Order: sequence, then C-alpha cells, then structure tokens
Amino acid sequence: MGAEALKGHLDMLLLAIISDAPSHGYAVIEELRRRSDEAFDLPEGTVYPALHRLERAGLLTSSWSSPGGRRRRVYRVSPKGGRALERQRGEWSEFVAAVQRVVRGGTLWPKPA
Amino acid sequence: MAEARLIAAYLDELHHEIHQLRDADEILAEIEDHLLEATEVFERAGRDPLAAELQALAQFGTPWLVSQALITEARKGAAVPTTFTRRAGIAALLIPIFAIVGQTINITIKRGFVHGIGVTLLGLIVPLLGVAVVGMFKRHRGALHGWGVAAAVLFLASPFLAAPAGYGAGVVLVVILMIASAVLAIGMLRAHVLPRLPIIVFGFAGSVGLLAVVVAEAAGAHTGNPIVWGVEPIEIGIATTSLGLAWLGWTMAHEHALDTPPAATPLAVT
Repeated sequence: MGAEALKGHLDMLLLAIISDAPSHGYAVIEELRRRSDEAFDLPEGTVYPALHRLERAGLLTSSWSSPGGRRRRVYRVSPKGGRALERQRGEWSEFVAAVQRVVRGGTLWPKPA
Repeated sequence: MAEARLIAAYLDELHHEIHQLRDADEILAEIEDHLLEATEVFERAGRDPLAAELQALAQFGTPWLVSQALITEARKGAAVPTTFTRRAGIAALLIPIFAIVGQTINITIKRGFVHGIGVTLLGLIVPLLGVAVVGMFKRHRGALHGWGVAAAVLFLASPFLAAPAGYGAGVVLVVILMIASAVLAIGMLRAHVLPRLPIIVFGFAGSVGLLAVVVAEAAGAHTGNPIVWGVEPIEIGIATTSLGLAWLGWTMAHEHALDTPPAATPLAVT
C-alpha cells in the first residue's frame, strides 16, 4: 500500500503511534510498518514533513536528547493532539462501521430466489 | 558502524536543497539520526556496511523527493482552515455585495430610512474588510513570511500615511491598499495555500487599473473625465479587486474547518 492510500490518514496514524509512547522519527516509522504488517510502505523521508506539520499545528511537541552522543528529536502528543486523536478515532470507527455495513450488503433480507 | 560516507553525501545534497529553510540544521540532524539508526539495524541483520547504508538511503527517499516534501510543508506552515477563516471568507464574500447594494441605495435614494440602510451597508465594508484580511493572514499562518509582514505594515499604516494628503487622502489610501494587496498576493502565491487565479485577480487588478491611470496621465490622454467604458480604470481595478476578494472568500468559506468535526469525511488533518 503506497503513499496515495495513506493520504488523509497519515496524521491520525502518527498521532496514534506517538500517543502510546514518545518516539523519535525512526521508531515512529518502524512502528507504523510493524503495526500495519508492512502494508504501509512509503518513502520514510516523507513522514518527517508530516511530523513537523503536526508539531506546527500544536498537536505534537518535540524535544532533543543525545543518546549515545547522537542528537535525537523525540515527539510527544500534546493535550490538543490527544483531543484531536480521540475525535478522529471516533469518526474513523463510525466511518469504518458504516462502510462495512454497506460493503457486506443486506443480510436482514435474503435475496429472492 | 561504517563511515557512513554515502549518508554524508546524501545529507550534503539534501542540505543544498533545503538550506533556505529556517530549521534546516535541525531537520538534517534528525534525518542523520534516522539514517544512522536504520543503517545500524540493517548491519545487525547481517548486511555489510555499504549495503546497509544503501538500503537505509533507498528506503528514505531521494533528496529531491524529501526536500520537496519538506519545502512544501514549510511553506504552508500550520496553514489550515479554521472556523474563523471560514467566517473571514464569508466577510470577504459580503464586501462587494454590500458595496454594490449600499452604493446603489446611496445614489438612488437620497434620504430617509432606506438611505440610512445604504450608508450603513457601506460603513460595514470597513470592518468586513478587516476581518477578511485578518482571515487571509490566519489562513496562511507562517507561510507568508516577509511578504506577509510587509503587507500587514502597509495595511495598518495606510490611514496614517494617507491622512497628510488632506483632501486627496481617499485616493492615497486606495493606492496604498492596492500596493498592500499586491504584496499580500505575492506572499499568498508563494505559499501555495489558496488557488492562484483569485489571488491574482485580488492582488493585481487594482494595481493594473492604477497603472493604466498613470500611463494615461503620462500620455496626456487622461483629461480627468472617464476614459474607459464611462468609468475610470482605477474604478474598474477596485471592482475587479473586490471580485477577486469575493472569489477568495468563496473558496475560504467552503473549506472544511479543522477545528470542527467534519460532516462527510472521517479524517480531518492533512
């Protein structure tokens, strides 16, 4: 599944991953790959602009640390980001449920023979 | 861990592409950390250092692809539609309507209650314009850079700059506002947030009208009487600028505000 399929969904996925644990970019991307069973395969470098966008929008915060002497930027979900994620989760669940009801078709009334 | 020469070369190339970004050094440090960690993971999985580096770079994306994504996002800033920017769009949309209706009433009905309504509509244009312009700035939050600052200074300073002109203050005010609109439009075009055509109409129609008057004056063709279709070019410019403003307002008013739940789509951000 490429970048196109993720369009419009990536921000929620990033928020969901980082809300579980503050993470740096590489860890976020690896977790995205792992949780999706490698279905979400996109150029890793294109995830960083999305992280920066979420930070500018106030949904993420970041801080720098130096594990092993290497500078590392760690992202956390802000309170505003947490609220946005909760809202998006709810809307996503409703959306998926509605799509499934449509796609599975009418099960209440059997098709006429 | 290898010497990471390929990563260093990659970062050099990326630096060349994104050096104009304010936080380029931080971005490069973050990407270097990513690439080094990915390389270490591939090495631990059994690849030789060179292959590990190559795979880390291949998965990351070309410098051009990554730089384009970074630059596009940086230009946008956190430029997202909100409830306020939608309302500002409605304000922009109302300006030409109030101007036409108000001026028509003002000219055709000389006194009484209805005349008062016409004058009130004309008076409301000023606060509506203020809301519309603030909304456009907010819609481009952080993406207008120096052009936005210059336009804001011109908009705010325009009454004070025009006042010394005395009787001609109205004309000077219009000229300054036209220039401010053009500067704002340049910033908006560079930001790539809203559609280009209405921005061009909004930003430059007035200046073109102004230029036409100047050229006509210089050529001696402007006698003080209306010279184009019975009206002054500057009036056509103002009308066209209003049209562009209304067009931008229509666009902004129809965007989905990210601070309210979407009505039809499951996801808000992006």
